[in-house]
Parts: sequence; C-alpha cells; structure tokens
Amino acid sequence: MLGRNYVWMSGEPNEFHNQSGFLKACSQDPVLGTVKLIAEPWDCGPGGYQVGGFPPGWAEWNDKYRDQVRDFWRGELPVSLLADRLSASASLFHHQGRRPWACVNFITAHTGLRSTMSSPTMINTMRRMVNRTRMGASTIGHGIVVQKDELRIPPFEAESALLRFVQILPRFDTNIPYCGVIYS
Amino acid sequence: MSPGSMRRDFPGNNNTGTTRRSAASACCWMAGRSHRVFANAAKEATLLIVFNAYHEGVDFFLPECEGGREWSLVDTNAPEHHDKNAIPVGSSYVVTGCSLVLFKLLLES
Repeated sequence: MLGRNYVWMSGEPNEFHNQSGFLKACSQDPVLGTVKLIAEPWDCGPGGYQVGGFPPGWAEWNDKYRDQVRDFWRGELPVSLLADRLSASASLFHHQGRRPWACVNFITAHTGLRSTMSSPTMINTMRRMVNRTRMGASTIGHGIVVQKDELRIPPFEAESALLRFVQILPRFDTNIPYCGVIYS
Repeated sequence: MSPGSMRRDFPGNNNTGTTRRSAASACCWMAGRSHRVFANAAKEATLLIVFNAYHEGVDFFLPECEGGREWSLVDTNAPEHHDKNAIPVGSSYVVTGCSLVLFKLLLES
C-alpha cells in the first residue's frame, strides 16, 4: 500500500504513515498534484487496513459502504447504522479538512464477480463455482461466504439505485462480464 | 418538515415482524431549497428517497412540508404512474419489498 514508512522515517519500518514521503511527493508533484488521487487503502501486510487514514488531497475507496449497504439490503444491518454510509461516511473521512469527495462509495470491485447481482444467471454461476470447490461453502471475493444451498444476494437494482443517490462519488465496475450494463 | 413527520405504518403492531420491518425500511430527504435568508437561494428539486429492504411492502406516509403540494412518483415498479399520479403530502404509499422509490416534491403554484 502507498504510504508505508521506510527506514528514514520514524516509527516501525513499513508502517503506514499519512505523512510518508511518497504521499507528500504525490501532492507536490506538478502533474499528480492536479489530478484526482484515489487510493485502495488496504493491503495484506501488518497494519494494512487504513480506510480513512489518507491525507487531504486523496480520495479512498470506502469498503464499509460496500459491506454495510450490502448487508442492509440483505436484511442483516439495521437501518440506524446506514445514515453515516449515506452521507459520505464522515466518521471515517471528515478530518484535517477533508471534503466529502474523499469518500468513494462502491458496491463491487475487481474480483471478477458481481457479489451483489441477483440475476438467475449470476446465481447459477455462483452455484457452479461453489460446487466446483467440493465444499459446503465458498469464499467469493471480499470475504463473502456463499453457502451451497443458500444464496442471500441483495437486490441488485435497488442497491445500484441507492448508490446513485448517496452523497458523492459512486463507482461502478466494468471489467467483469456480469455488470457490463452499469457504467457511469 | 420536521423529522418526526416521517412515519411508517406496520399493520398489526403486535406482529413479531414489525421490528424487522422497521429496521429494514427508511427514507432520506434531500432538500433542494435553501432558507430564504441566503442571497443565492438554491432552487433545486426536493427529493425523497425511500428504501425498503424488507421482503414485503411497507406503508410510508409522505411528509408534509412548507409550500409542498404533492409528491411526484418516479417508480420503475409501476411505470404507468409516471407524471400522472402525484400523491398529496401526508398521504401514505406502499413501497414494494426490496425496492427503492424516488419522489420529487411538487410545489403549490
């Protein structure tokens, strides 16, 4: 992940720091300083989950929107927890003068699977993948566990429509065959 | 509009499903007009987004607000309603299960 410390910084080596040299260099670069900078703020290393931790000037993918809105439509999240997600997740991103555009809401990413799709074709595809693993359940992208006999997938149309109305920056994915129809 | 003017109706309040329905349905108000004291008052449309993640329909009472006459429905579940059947403020509307409905406020002329 961008922003990890190296030996010349204080603190632990490879620890994320939102004032790291690389992030500072990006904001000072004559070209990068004028374009939109969007981070995928996690990796699999220690301390690698940094959603909301990037400095002003950066936008970040908001995986909490993806997970919690999906849970809401699946009936597994009370609506009282949804307000922050619908208002650009200020609890995560509103610090150091960061604006609502620092939050990039999305409902799917580059996994090659539309975890939210509710079409029969998609469900059948997921079932085939689950069966192929010869297990009772399978993890398909983003840690979603799909049971062999129970697919609880939120209504795609409703989830997609809600994404269009929430505050700031929706993101739709196009590099996967299941969602070629949505793009903005 | 006050936040308390938004309410939902769950027939049979002793039903154990009431809590479940209440937790799965909500609405979001997007005011398009700013207060008149501002020099450049916003004059955008006022929208009401209602989303219902419960698998059955939930009855929503559409809120009253100053200067508002009706809520115009934009509902892809019932396309015949487009621009024809605006719903008076304060009336109720059944939102289909697992769906999202968008209303636009029509002002008194």
